[in-house]
Amino acid sequence: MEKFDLTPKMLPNLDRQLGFPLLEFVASRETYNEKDLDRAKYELLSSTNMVDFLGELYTKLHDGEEPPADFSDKRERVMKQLEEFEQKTERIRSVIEMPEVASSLRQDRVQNMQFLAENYQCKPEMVKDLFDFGQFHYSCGNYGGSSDLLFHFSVLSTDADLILKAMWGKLASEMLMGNWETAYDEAIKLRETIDKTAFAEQSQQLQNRVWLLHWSLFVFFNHPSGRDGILEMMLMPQYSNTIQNACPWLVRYLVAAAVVNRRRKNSMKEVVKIVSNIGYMYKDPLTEFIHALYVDFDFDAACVKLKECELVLNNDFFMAGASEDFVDCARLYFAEVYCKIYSRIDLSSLTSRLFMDQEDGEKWIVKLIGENRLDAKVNLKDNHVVINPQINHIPQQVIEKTKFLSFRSQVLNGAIDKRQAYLVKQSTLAETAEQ
Amino acid sequence: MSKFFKGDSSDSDSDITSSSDSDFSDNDFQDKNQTQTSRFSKSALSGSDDSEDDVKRVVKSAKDKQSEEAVSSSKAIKKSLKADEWTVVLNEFEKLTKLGPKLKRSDMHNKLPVFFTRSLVEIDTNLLRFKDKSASKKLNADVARSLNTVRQRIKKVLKDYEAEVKEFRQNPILSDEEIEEEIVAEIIPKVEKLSVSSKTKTKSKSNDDDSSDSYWDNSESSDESSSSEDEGPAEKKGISKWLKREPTKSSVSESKDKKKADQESKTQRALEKKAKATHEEEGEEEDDGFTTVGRKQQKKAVVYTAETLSAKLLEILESRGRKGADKSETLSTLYGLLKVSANDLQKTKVLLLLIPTQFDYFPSTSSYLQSKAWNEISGLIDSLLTILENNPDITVSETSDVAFDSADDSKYVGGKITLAGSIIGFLDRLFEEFIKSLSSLDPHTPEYVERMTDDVTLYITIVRVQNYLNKCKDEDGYARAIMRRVEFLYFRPDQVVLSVEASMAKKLGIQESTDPNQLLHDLCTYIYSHSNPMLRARAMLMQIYNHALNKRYYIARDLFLMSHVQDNILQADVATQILFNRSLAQLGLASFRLGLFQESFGHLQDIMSSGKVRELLGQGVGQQRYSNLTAEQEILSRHLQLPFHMHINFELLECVFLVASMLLEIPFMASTNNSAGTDSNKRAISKVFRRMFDFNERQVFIGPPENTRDHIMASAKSLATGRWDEAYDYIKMIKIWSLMPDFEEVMEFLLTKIKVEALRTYIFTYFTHYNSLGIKGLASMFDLSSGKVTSLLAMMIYNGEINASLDEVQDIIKFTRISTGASLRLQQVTLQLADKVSSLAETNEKMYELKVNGGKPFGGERSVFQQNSNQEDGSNRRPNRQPNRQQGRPQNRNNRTQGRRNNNQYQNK
Repeated sequence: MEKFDLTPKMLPNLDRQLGFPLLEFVASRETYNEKDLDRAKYELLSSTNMVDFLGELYTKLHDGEEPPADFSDKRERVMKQLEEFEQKTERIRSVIEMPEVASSLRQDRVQNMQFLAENYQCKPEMVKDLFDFGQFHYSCGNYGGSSDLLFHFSVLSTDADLILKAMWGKLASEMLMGNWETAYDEAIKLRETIDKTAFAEQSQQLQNRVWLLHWSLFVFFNHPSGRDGILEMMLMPQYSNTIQNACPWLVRYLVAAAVVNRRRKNSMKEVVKIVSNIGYMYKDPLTEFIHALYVDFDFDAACVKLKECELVLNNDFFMAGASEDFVDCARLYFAEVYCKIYSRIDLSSLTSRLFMDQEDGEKWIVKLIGENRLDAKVNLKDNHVVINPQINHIPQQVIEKTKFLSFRSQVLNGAIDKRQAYLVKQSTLAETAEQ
Repeated sequence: MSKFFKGDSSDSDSDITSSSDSDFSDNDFQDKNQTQTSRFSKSALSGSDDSEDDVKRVVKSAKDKQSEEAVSSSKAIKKSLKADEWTVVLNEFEKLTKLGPKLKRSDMHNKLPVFFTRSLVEIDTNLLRFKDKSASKKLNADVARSLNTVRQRIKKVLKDYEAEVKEFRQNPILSDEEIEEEIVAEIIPKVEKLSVSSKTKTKSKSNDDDSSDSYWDNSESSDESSSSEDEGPAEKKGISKWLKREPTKSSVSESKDKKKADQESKTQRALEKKAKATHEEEGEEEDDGFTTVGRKQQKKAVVYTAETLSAKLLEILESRGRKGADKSETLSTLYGLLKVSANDLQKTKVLLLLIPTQFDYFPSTSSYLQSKAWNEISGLIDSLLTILENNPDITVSETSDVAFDSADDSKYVGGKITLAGSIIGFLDRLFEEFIKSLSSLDPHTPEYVERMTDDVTLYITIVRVQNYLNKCKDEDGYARAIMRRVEFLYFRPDQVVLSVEASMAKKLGIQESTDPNQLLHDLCTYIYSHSNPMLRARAMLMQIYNHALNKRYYIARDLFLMSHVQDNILQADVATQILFNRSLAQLGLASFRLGLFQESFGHLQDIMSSGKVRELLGQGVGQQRYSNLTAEQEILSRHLQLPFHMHINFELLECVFLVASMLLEIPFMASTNNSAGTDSNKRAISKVFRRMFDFNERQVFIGPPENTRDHIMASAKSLATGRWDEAYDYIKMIKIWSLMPDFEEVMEFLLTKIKVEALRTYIFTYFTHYNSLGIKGLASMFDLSSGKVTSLLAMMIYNGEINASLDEVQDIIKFTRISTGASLRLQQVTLQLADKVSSLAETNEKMYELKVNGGKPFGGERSVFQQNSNQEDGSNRRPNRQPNRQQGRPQNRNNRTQGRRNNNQYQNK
């Protein structure tokens, strides 16, 4: 399954610490050599300040060897830095935590700063210290601390660039703590900020969007309403363009979200378009399934791909939990298209195609007929499903088209009459005034 | 269009003309020419020291006017002699002879002015050339007649002034001081004189050895040089007369050195003074030069020495672009200078002047550089580059303020020096001349092929310039050089690029690049990150073209779409627009090669349906437009044409477009004919194809297909009836496919596509006749797998193109009968009517909205006029409330015109 594993593509677009769970997951699936993965993990985290954990990894990597001496040095250094930061930011932190301060803070950042400077002798540099400290916390793996600090910073600071960075930090911290509710809000806020900010280089904006698309996968596949969110975001023109230009592999998640989300069937059309657009750049069983079903109408191929999808999804960090859900929904889509095209279906061949046994298949079909209000009947004797074709009669069409015409014209006429009456009144008024 | 060219030409001009200063002085000179002359002559006559009086306006005496007239006549004679315009010569000669006695009288010493005598001698000498009849036969009748008249008259006149002429011939310029003073009066003739003398010198030299020089003599003044061979002794005698006596009077070095120093200081001063002052200074300088020529002929032998080189260069620089300046003489002088230049600095200086002079030698708009001349210049640029490469201390920059000065630099030993000049300017010019010459040559001649062989030389020069500019850290120039390189490479397929690269690498001894795609990518990337948007867009388009040419369609298309180049292409200049169209056409070809016919059609549609494809691609001008253009426009439009080897084959393009249109249009036509849907009033996909097809249909007799179009039409007809094998055969017979790089593969794609479209067409056309069709039967009929047929049918059903359903059990397609008793045609028409009526209702609503929103606000004062129009409108609209089906259409039209009229009224208000 290495072929369809996206981890190598995802990692460059994620924060080091966000990448870690991905590696852990991949390790649990045993797709790659364990040793390699451990090394990857070690390298991934080597520039962070999670010294203790790194030491452990090192030992594991080198078969029980003690970590070299500079580890303890580093550890000491980190501890010292921590103390320094504590001292440096003590004043401003205490100020911020005062309830009266919190209540008197307003929307206007500049005014806030002035207020703090006047009443509590806070300098702008101290706010910057908050940011640095937050970053430090994050680097140490203390996400709660970093989240708080970065929040305060983003409220107080006036530096748009740093605020954006702080927002990224906050999002990452929330995600790593598992606060999906806050993270969801953060992601949406971040999206708005990115869209609003005028970047010096357009490529910068693109890069930010790419990151956001990757990061928000964590949120969307963990938050209850995430499946709506991801679909909405990925289908926004600027983001669907971003996907098609910069990170086509994310189409997998778009497809998955679209299939799983039965309520938003209309978005399927757009998804199909995107899938066929990027067909020359990126392919995996999910996109191929969609392509087979909606572009080629090759049902056999679609079934084969569906089987492969299950495997791929089980090995995907984000979708592992949703693979069953996906297959169920995909079957429904399949049946929908199939029934639209066929008027008589051999039940046994359909169920075998969808990898179900006879009885389950029958139940499933019946349920489908009930749910979809399909005009169909099961002929048990021949084991057929007969679907009555929906005929769009032309007289019916004509009636539908002309139904509202007379009403519309009447409304229009009424409006004209009214206006004319008004005008006449105006002119008579004017005449009397002249006289 | 013209703007681009204007800018271009002025650009190249300013590249070459040294500085605005000299330009200014040029103009000045021409303006004041007449008055200046007289001033000099006046002051000369009065014998006073000039320079102060100079500024004041001088009242001319009759005497002055006469001499002025005579001077101009003599000038004209000189000029027309050279051009063999004997009619003019005759005219001026007559004037001059009339003036002769008067001049003699007016002169203090009762002598003829020197220029007068000289003109006579010149005419006489020139007449010698036409001694035998064959020479004069070449001239046209009028000229020949004048020539004879002149011949007869000159004898008489010469007799009259025998003494003077004789004196002149013995000693061309009298050493008399006063006469010399007088000579100041004829600046211009003297300049010419000087150059003549220098020329004769080179000529005599070239006779012995030099071959490169002799070329110039040949090409430019072929008549003269040939004459020197023809007439032999007589002419030689004339020349030798001028030359011979020099050695006897050996160089008087000391006094001359002094003189030179004097002259140099003068020059310095002159540089500091502005345009006005240059004249008189020049006059003096010429004066000096003249004296040397006249008095001590040996000066000529030393004129081209390393020491005097700078002064000479300055002189040439100042005379450049001037009316009187003779280009060919300047050239030969420069060649002479090049030979004697003592060190690299001097060489560079000479080359920097020589190259633009060479370019200027031919008028830029009308003609083009001959291959020989081009190679000559290319060689010069190469040697310039070699010098510069070997001497990192000498740099050339467009922005350098080090002007040419007359300081002696023959002792140059080293040290940083920056000269004014533009290497990239030379390269640009060289490149353009190459393209121009190719555009003007007939591509089917061996000359064209021969010319094409020079392109490797050009490429080597480009790469050298690029490398050199990179070393110089000249970013702008470097980017432009890269641009030229890209421009050179982009339209060549990978193999050709490789071979050009290889020969370049061999010549220059550098590493060749083995991946043309990467090479082009690197070059373009540099331009993207460093250049102005204009160059960037061009580079982008060229890269797209190259990708498409080498079948990297998706990369090309993505680049095309992501660059948003189509958004503002309309603001670009014409050349860039042509490039844009070419890239688009190439994209169309590339997608066709990949079997993406729909995309191909999309790319080509705009260009091909415009009706002026050739103009759009810069590959020729349409006939009907040709006549409307003025001569100037015609030249301009010809300039935009690309040389033949860059062309995209027009016939292939048309073939690709028509085949792609056929594959889309034929099934579409079939589907609209028999479907009851709203498609029926949809317009044609490809109007061009539809028109052709309809025309073909109307023909009573159709012979077997001959050309590409015929084949496609025949194929389309077969396709329309579902006979895919016939259709394919016709397509396959088209000869132009051989120009398609991977034609076999394309044919495979085409075969499959034709089968599919034939099946679709068949179903669309004949489904009314069937209740159901077996899938297996269809599969065998169209030679497709039943799976493929099934999925095709499924697609048609799913997309609502046909009303049918598949039966899995029986493996058939069942067509749904819609039988309501009425015919299909009636149903179609009814549906159309319903559509029209609803669109009518919509129009009404829109118009009402327009009135409310577009008119004045409700409460405001309204003019009676507007009220009237509203009322009128209301009454007009009333019948529409209950749409009458029969009148639906005309009413609609009526209403629309009404609306338009009303709108106009609003606008008029």
